[in-house]
Amino acid sequence: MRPMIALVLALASGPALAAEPQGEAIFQRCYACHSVDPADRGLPAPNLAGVVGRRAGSAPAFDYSPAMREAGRGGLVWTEAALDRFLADPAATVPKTWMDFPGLMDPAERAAVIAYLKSQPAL
Amino acid sequence: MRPAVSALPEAPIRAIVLAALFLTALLAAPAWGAAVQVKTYPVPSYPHDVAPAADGTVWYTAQQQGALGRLDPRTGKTEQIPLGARSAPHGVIIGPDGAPWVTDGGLNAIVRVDPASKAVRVWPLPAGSGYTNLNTAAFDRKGRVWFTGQNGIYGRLDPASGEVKVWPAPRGRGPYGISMTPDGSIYYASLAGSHIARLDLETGRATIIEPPTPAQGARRIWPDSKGRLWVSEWNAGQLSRYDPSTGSWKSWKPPGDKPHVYAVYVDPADKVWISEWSANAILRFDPATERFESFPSDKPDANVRQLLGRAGQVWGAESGANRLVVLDYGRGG
Repeated sequence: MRPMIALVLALASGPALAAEPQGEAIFQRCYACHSVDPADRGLPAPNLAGVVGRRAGSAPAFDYSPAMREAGRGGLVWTEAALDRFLADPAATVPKTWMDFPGLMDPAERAAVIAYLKSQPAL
Repeated sequence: MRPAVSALPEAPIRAIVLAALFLTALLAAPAWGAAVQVKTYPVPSYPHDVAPAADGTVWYTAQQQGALGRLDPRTGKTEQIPLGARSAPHGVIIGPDGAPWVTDGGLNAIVRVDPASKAVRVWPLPAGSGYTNLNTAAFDRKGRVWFTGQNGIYGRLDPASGEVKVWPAPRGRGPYGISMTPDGSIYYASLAGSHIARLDLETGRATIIEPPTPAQGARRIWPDSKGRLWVSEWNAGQLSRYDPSTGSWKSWKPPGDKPHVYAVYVDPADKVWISEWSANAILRFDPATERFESFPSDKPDANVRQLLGRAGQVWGAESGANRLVVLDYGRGG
């Protein structure tokens, strides 16, 4: 009986507990260009500290593509849903983005990396 | 006997002499502008890097489709060879064996595709390397493949033994373009690290060389015939040259507002070709005159991510236009 209870508990709490470490591992695919450390500057892509809820193209002192600046002016805000769409297919969500990333096909991976971003301190 | 030409009336002689002088001047002039023929080839999807082979075919990485593409410029037909589940190829170069060699970030492996059989051979990075975000490769004179991983590594594959070695880059993330100079040295550029580095090919040690422009974002690197390194500096929006014999640097800013210099390639005549995203153009730079000449794309946001050449031609991957572009400048250019 005990193993069964343990299994049920693990299944119930698994995704929430596992999301952050898994998200950090998935973030390695973003790590070459992005950082979640507010102190990091001068990278090839914008700092993602506090990105959830931020207007697109608005990280301070970053030289965005015209397409991303325009998306922000057009009202794109990085809600969790918007990040999910963008990570699934960056070029379709913001056509002509300079971001060189084919996308994350697995919804669970997207959810995990968004949860990881959300857990990071803001700029 | 008087020369036959003197028998012609004076005005036509003048015309002939002027025409001859004009033709001579035209032939003596550098092959600028009109001498360059530009042609484009549609490909199925998002070509990231391109490598023209000596047999006339052209290979490109179809990064978003996990495939290596092959274009036959004579017919315009393309064929894509799937590289495996989760493949996301970034770089492709032609090896000394005439085959395309791929740095595949998705597979975390170096991949060779046999040009005849299309057989795919994969050399995964050692267990424990983690996700390295493989970027670009270059062969050394011993036939070994040196490669960069943007997450902060560089490495070496010896295809003869199958041994793959990986070293941590001295300043972590950033290693991007890599190439071999005429004396056999290998250098890489670090985009996030804003420097270039020279590799000791036996110990694997990297020696950092600091460009004078801070936070310049050194993205790609290519040697000229004298062994000087030309570097495309993305953040600074400039083209720079490092001379290892003197340790000196010199930089040039392309014309226009806020240039973004992405790719660099030096042709056998030491003309330097770059892609510049703000102008949406490929530029040719003549180090002798220090002038840039622009070849704009006819498609918006073509976003050429890489340039590579073969005799008389420079090829570019228009990632934003789903095309390959070739600039045919002629063998004398």
